[in-house]
Amino acid sequence: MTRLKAALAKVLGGAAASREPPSAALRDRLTSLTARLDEMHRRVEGLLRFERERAYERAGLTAIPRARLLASSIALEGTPSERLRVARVRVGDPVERQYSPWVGITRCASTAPDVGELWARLLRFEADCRDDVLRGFPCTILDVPGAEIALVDGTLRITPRMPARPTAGVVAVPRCSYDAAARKVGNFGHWMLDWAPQIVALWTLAPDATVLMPQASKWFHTATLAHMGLDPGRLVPWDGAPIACRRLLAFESDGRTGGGRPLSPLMEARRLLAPADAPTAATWNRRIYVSRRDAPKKRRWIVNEPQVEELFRSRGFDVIVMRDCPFEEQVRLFREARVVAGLNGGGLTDIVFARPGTDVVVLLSDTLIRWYAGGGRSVWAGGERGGEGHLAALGDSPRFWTHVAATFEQRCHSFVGGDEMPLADLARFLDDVLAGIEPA
Amino acid sequence: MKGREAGSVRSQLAALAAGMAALGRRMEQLAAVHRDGGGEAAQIARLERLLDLDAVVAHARDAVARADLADDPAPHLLVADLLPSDAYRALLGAIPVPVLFEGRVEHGQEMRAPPRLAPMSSIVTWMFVDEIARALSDLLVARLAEPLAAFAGARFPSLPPLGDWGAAITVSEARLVRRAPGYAGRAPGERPWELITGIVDLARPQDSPEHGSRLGSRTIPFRANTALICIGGAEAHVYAPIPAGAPSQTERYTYEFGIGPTKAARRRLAALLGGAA
Repeated sequence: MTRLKAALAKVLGGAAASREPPSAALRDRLTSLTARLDEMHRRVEGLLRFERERAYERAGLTAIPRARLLASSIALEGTPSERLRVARVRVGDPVERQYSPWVGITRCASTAPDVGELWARLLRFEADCRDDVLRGFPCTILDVPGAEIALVDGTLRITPRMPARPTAGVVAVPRCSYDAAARKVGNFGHWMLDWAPQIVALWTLAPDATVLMPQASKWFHTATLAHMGLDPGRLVPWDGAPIACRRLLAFESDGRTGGGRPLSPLMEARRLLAPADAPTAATWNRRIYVSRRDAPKKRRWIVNEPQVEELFRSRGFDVIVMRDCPFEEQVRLFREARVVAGLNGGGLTDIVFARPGTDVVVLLSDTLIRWYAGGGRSVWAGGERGGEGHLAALGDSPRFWTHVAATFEQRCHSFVGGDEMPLADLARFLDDVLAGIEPA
Repeated sequence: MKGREAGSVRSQLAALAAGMAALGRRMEQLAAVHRDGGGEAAQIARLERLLDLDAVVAHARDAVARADLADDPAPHLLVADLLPSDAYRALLGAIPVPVLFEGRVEHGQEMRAPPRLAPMSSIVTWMFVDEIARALSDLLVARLAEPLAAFAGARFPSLPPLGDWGAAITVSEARLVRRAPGYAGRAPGERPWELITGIVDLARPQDSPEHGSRLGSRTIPFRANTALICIGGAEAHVYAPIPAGAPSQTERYTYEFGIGPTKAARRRLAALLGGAA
């Protein structure tokens, strides 16, 4: 402030001493002073923002009687003084993605009235969203120097206390170890889109950490981590028994908003899974249809997939069954893919390897639409999850893959048909989609 | 310099001076947040010894239960000795410095509670108060049940009776209010979903009972550790003005909280009303 006052005095004095016409000199100096003042305002506002976040966050961790956390399945125990040593660390960048440019052709050919009504409701909800942006915040990790942890009744209990005799060094706990059904941990789609990004974030902070997992590693856990250059040997199964470690990193929040996808950690993982500087595939014209022949019967969603596969084959698609396809081959195929198609499901997960600009075609059946709407989940289907007017509320809806594709800047087309897919309607839809795709 | 040019320079200078004043205020805020930064650990340890939620809530619930329900001029509770004295003193110590409040003196300055921009120990204390208010809300709703049902029926005639709303009712919003010499009255701002308002006087030892508040025709003195609980939003009662000529140390701080349906419930109820929550 003193410097500013001095500068102001100098302006007035300086202008008087200048050889320029006094009014011009004064104006110039005032303009430059205003610019300097604006810059200082910006800096101070930045500092205030930082202080506001820092103080509120630390207060939340130290709150009496209990810490205020972003995960209801973590209990940060210990006294407020002990909790004062805990830091909440953010990993990754905020992500904002314009949504509508990535929404391709959308068509409903279902004749079931309830499905037609649900789909119309979803589209109305989407159209009414004032903000055409998908958002994700950096994930948060609790960094505890010295802790005792245990899983008790599905809650990760953390006591921030330096153990006299540590039984472990640096330990990292992803959310799947304390807040996920076992079947989701063993599911390729959930692994790629939810859990692997968390492990990437944890290892960003501590590459030497041992990651506690709820079950023994499956082949795809190992394959994906190795593909990203991480050491799968550091995944250790944990039954929740007490551990005393020198340092704990507990994954707290994946930064998703209101039922949306965890865009920020997902993009961080994609940087490793499909680096922008990876050698470009020689071709970018492959068409892939991902079959669900390898899915359990009740999760195949339609009754005439062989005919659907045949239709896609007739349009130049390679039909692949993921179970029969080695991991590195999957990566190669999807990097070469110009169009990826398939029934809504985990088989589409590999679009994480596909380039921006790839077209994705998602098929949805009556059973699938009803499944998404069931259980009163999101507001679009009459539930309370997510906020009115926010696209994120459709993150767990038949628009799931459209949101994932938009995150990767891939255009997604949706077709809703009966459980017996109407082949003529589907053919017309597919031809319309392909007609709109520029040759590579 | 011609008249028009001189005028332009004058207005630029005025803008600069205003910008410098705003910058100065922001820098004071930064300094205020940092003031107890070095002693955080000691302050948290002190609060840890002082703030026992179970004991404080038990004391406060007892105080609310003992308060008489008055009807004149409107249904209200005047709760004396709301908090144990050491907890109350902790609240007084956690009132942030004036520069951290926003708004114009003549309309009263406010800060949301728990505050965002304040020393950490102050935020921790007001988070604790938030827990107390939440723990009292069911009792306050129960004590004011009859007049509250009548109020809700009158305010939302097209909704079913309050008991059939099926809505969780809890603390919806809380703020700290600062009045200083020159305070003339609050700017109007209705909060339609606040069914009950609680006003806790944060009188310091040096504060006189003057410049309290008014509920209808009744004057309520400014008393330490006392809460006025009334039906309706913050507009239900009126803070007394403080003349501009009053001594500069004549400040009045209050903690104000509203009780109403949760956000999700408001959304549902607003849909029944055909409007926005």
